[in-house]
Amino acid sequence: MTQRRRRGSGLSWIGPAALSLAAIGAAIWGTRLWLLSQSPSVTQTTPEASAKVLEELETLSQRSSAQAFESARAEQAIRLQTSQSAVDGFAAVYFFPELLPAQSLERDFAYLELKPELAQIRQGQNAREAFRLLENRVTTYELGAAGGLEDLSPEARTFLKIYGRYATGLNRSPADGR
Amino acid sequence: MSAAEARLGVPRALLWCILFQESRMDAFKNAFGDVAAKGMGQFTPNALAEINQDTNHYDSRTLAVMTEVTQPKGLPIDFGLKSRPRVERPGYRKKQLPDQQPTSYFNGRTAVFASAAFLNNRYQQIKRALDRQGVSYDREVLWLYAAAAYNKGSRTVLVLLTDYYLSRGERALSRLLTDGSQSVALLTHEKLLHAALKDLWRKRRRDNYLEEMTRNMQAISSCVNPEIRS
Repeated sequence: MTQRRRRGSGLSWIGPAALSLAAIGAAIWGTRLWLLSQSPSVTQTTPEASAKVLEELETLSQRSSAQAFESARAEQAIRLQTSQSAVDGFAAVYFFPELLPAQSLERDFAYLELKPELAQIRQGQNAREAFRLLENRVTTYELGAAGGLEDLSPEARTFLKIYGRYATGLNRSPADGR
Repeated sequence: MSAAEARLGVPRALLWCILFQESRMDAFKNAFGDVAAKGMGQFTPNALAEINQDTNHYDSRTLAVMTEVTQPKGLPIDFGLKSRPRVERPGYRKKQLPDQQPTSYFNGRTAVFASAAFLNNRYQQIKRALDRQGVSYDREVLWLYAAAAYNKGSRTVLVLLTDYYLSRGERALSRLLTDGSQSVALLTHEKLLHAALKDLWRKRRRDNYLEEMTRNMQAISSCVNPEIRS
């Protein structure tokens, strides 16, 4: 009897242990999923995905007004954010600052040095002057004092191309009525 | 340079070392020819445009300083030359050129102040980003990062520091930014820079840029403080 009781008590730990292991496993898996959901999508970077996003933005800009482009851009930012799609962090600075990680030291540049001038361009207020400032800021931000324009990144080139067209009015469609 | 330090707070030793590294203090470097970067601080037209058009954007003292330096005309400054040699080729009769107008970047005093203002703008840009994140730093150490940004753009520095911040945390970043030797070691370590900046440029350009950046930072940091070597 005593022996049986001992054997029984010897095996009784298996159930709780298995449950504990399962709970730990679930916790690890849950934490992993949570961490993945928290990590900014901008870190999942591929040059191909970035090039595709830039191409889409450029195509979009060719057939829409500055305001319509901004609305579409904001919608795309939300889509990228929710779908965790791969987008190059470097394109984010110029086109999707919403996707920059909270700790990114580039946020200041995006929000304080680009955003006000972009708003001016969209509203058509001193658009050419605003674009000139934007162009200077992007160029010195990327190249410093001595770099050549040919060294600008693809995203900076696309950015300047798109907003340069808006600033000079080349994108106005008859539907804009201006 | 002492005057630039007094007016804009730029450390004169660092400014001297940058200008020496950029041009060996040659006010007429690349004055004749198609090379975009010209003069003592190797300014491109975009760097000039920042001083001329975005003058007070980073520091509200800059306009007053630059207006005084370029008197009697005042801003803008340009790449104008008072007299040009009959045959223009690199290095030709450079030494016989007269002193230039204060509004020319080829005027030595103007070049020193404009370069100091540009360097200060990089410092203010990096400082502001760190202040907003609440990251502590040592001012002297931060000037080293401003020197790197002068040469390769603030983006390079901010991407590098963001990578450090995201991968190692705020404390580690603060430690880095208060330790001159550690900062020099990072700014001159090609492998670490490659890893942090791998997406910033395509491979070939990155190789050239980082090789140039590490060489410049090695020269500048050992020029400023010969005891700080990587």
